[in-house]
Amino acid sequence: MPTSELTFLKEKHIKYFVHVLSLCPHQFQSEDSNKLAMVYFALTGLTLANPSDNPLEPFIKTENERLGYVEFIYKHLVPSGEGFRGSMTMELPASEGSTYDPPNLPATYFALCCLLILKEDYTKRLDRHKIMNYVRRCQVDEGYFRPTLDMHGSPFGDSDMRHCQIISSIRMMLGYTGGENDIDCDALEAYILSTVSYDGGIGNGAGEYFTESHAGLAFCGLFTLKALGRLTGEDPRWNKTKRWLHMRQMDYDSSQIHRQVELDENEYAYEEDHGGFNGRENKYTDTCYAFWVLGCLRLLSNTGDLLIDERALAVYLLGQTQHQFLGGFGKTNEDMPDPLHSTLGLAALSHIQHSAALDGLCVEKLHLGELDDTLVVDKQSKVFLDGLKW
Amino acid sequence: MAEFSYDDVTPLPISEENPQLCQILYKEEYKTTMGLLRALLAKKEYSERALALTERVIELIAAHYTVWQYRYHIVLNINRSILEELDWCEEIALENLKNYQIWNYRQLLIEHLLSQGCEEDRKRFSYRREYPLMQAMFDEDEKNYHVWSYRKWFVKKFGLLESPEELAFVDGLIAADIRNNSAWNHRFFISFGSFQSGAADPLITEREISYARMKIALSPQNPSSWNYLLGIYDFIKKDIDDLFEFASEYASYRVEDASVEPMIESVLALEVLARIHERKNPQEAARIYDLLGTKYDKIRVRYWAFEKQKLHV
Repeated sequence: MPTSELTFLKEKHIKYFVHVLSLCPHQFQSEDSNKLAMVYFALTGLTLANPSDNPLEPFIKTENERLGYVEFIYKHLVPSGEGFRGSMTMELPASEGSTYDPPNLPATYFALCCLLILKEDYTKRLDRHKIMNYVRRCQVDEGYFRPTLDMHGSPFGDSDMRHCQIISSIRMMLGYTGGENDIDCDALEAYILSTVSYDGGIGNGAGEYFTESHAGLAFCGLFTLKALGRLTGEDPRWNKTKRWLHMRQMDYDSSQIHRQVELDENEYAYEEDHGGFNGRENKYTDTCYAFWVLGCLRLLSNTGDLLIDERALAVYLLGQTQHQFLGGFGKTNEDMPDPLHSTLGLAALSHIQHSAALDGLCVEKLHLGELDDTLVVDKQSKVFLDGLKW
Repeated sequence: MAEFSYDDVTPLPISEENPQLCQILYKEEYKTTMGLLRALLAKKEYSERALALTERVIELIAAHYTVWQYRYHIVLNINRSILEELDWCEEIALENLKNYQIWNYRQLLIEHLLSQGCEEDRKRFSYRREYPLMQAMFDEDEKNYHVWSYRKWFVKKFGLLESPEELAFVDGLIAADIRNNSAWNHRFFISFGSFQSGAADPLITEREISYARMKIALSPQNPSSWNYLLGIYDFIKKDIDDLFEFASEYASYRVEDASVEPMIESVLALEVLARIHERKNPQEAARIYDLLGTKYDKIRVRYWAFEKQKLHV
């Protein structure tokens, strides 16, 4: 697509998120247990698409409506107060006990984020020590976390680097910096450092497992180290990681002979994906990896200066994965938009919007809300968090 | 599911109270199934019909942690054979390739079988039964992250790091697709997973370095094989200087005659040359970084400029 035709579809994005926040088609049924994640992405997307003093205004018109949605989020708090469940579908009558209605860490994380974005002072309603006591017990000896506890109080579920980002964010949102219910930060740090792979990226398996580097997992790992105060971007130990991250932007300029060879040989390479980011070597580009990689680079940079080709990225996002009819962003140029990719597409654009490299690219200059780097919520919500007192 | 009756169960309907956010327009089938599940969960019913119901739920909403936990408890409570449950797992995994929780569940079952399973089950179990399932999964998607993670757990669990079969398996995948980075990664794991950094078996190291070089020769622009080669050097703390001639073969950037276009078969080889020059000949490294940024890898022009600036030349 010639760059002069690129448009940032602000109004369509706003409509898309407003629509998702109201009604989702039955195809979202399989995501029901992660309902709060959907809510989080849609709310965050709206704050990015509609920067203003009241970014949620297209969806929430009155104070009463806001209070109603706040109560909707609180309904996900389990009776013991130890955390949140992912969806009201999972709620069981309190009289039946908590065996099959336990809180889980992702739901607790997304609930807290949603409350912040809705400007709710949860310090009055939540017992942060109870929540942290639950979180703490989900940590295993190797330092990582499982998402929930089983009926015997043992950590249960998949081990995933995403849980590390989730835990370090919960800890921050609950104002925890130590104490008897805190997690073992040393073990967590050691775990993350042990997942750095031979190519400099970060995978999902401890130490000798050498799991494949993956940009989303890299973000979660680096984010966690930063949140724990254990990441110094200037530390030369991260040079190889920085290299690996910069290699995620795809150069498919076919006028170069060696790139033509690449396009012919690599079944995952398409010329129109030029400028996009992939998450693993020799994989397709995907909207969300632009955000994960840019997020990593920001975490590793003291100046916030990104050494990527911002213009090529903007052309990819606006011209390929931005959905021209529905608004929002798909995973690739062949996918329908979904809340996660829509929000992360906007977040990536937000990170590069002030770059001079984008001059003259769009009909109108980009103007998006901004994410905080220490918590993946919009800056206003982070300021709101900073004002809370336990 | 048809063979069981749930007529005596009073369903617990899903709450659809307003106001709510991201209201999903559930299908009737979903509401009915989840209403039944909720009723059985509340009663903590551990039965054959509950087991059958969890299968239906998992087909609808595989990411739901609680249903997996519930199914596990049912299996233990009704003394279902773990081997039968593993058979069931296989069918489900192949039906829904994006069903990620199943791999964690399968690990749980095997761990249980080996530590507390009945003797007959243990006797009949062989780790070899895992091969066809993983193979079928890789036939569908040879880069499925969850299956690869499972394979690593499996290899560790059954002490197969040095098994010739495992090496032949990755070799086959790399032969089929030289750019399969997941396979390269697995190769690193089986070759170096038993060693501490700096203390690998020299025979294995030598074998793997020549393997990587051979594969680079077949596809000089493939990042997977270059990362592998450089990863070994890093792991055994070997100086990359001795890659100078090898890398030069794929990046003869210095030409006597200015009218001749240099042959750059591999941008990655060119980068390796710059890295080699960094310490002893930073001027030359700077020159290569310029070439990368202005000519051969323009999308990273600012990154190469940053690398050049670090040289202080």
